Amino acid sequence: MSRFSHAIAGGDCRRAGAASRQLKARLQAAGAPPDAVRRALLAAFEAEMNVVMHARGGRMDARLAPGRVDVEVSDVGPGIPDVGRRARRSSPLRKQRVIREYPAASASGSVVPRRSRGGLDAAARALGLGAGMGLANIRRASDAFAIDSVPGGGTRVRFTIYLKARERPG
Amino acid sequence: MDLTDLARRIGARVVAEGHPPGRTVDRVYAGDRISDLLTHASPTTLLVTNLSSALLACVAELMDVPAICLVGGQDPAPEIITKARAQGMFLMVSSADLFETCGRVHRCWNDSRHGAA
Repeated sequence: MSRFSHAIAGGDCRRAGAASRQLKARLQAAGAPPDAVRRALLAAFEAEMNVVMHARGGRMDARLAPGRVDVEVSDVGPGIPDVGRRARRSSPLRKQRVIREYPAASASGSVVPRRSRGGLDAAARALGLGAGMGLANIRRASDAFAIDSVPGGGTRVRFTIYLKARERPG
Repeated sequence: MDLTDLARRIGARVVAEGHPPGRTVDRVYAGDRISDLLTHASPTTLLVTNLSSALLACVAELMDVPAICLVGGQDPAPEIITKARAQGMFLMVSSADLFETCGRVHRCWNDSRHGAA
C-alpha cells in the first residue's frame, strides 16, 4: 500500500493538474489498467479543478491499495449549499452558483476570475470552465463517491476507483 | 487517420509534428469546455477546440492525447507548445472557426474511410 499527499493552490490554472499528474504516475507505476487510470484521472482532475476554481487552496490525498485507489480532495473554500442535490443534478446547462470571492493570484489569463455572484463570469467560461459538470463527472467516473460540504467550512470529495477494467454492458 | 495528411487537407498550420512521425488517430472530439474535453480525451483522439490554455495542455497530458487542433488561427499558449513538444503531441492550428474546422475534418474523415484521395 502506498500513499501520497499533494497541496493544491487555489486560483491559478497554471499550477492546476500537478496533483493529478502525481496520481497518474503512481497508478501507472503500480500497473493499473488504462481504463481505471483514465477514470481516476478524470475524477481527480475535476476535483482538483474545483479546488482551483472555488477555494483558496486544498489538498489531494490518495491511498493506493491492492485492487483499488481511494482519493480524497479537500479544500478551504466556501462550501457548497445543498450539495447532495448539486452532485445529483449537475448538468452542462446548470449555472454554478456556489462560487465566492477569493484572492486572485496574479493578473495573468490563467488565473480563474474571482468575482462571481450567481455564476462564473465570462472570463472563466472563456477558459472552458464553469460548465457545472464537475461533480457529476466525478460521480460517473468513480466506483464509489461521497461529498461532504459545509457552507463556509470547505468541501471534501472522496472517491474510489477499483483497479480493473470496467465491464461493458451487453 | 494520418495527422500530417489531415493537417494538409484542412489547411491547418502545423506547430509541432509530434513523435513518432506518422501518428494516427481513430477518433475526433470537438468542444469548448474543459470537462467535455477531459471526458472524451483518449490516447487515440484528436481534440479540436478553441481553448488555447494551460488547462488544455494539462488535459492532453493527463489523458495522453496524441493531437490537438486549435481553431480560429490563434497562437497556441506557450504551455501548449511546450507540452506538445515534450510529450510528442501533434499540434496544429486551423485558420477556420470551430464549426468550419469540424466540417473540414469530417469531410476528410469520410473521404479516408471511403478511400478518396
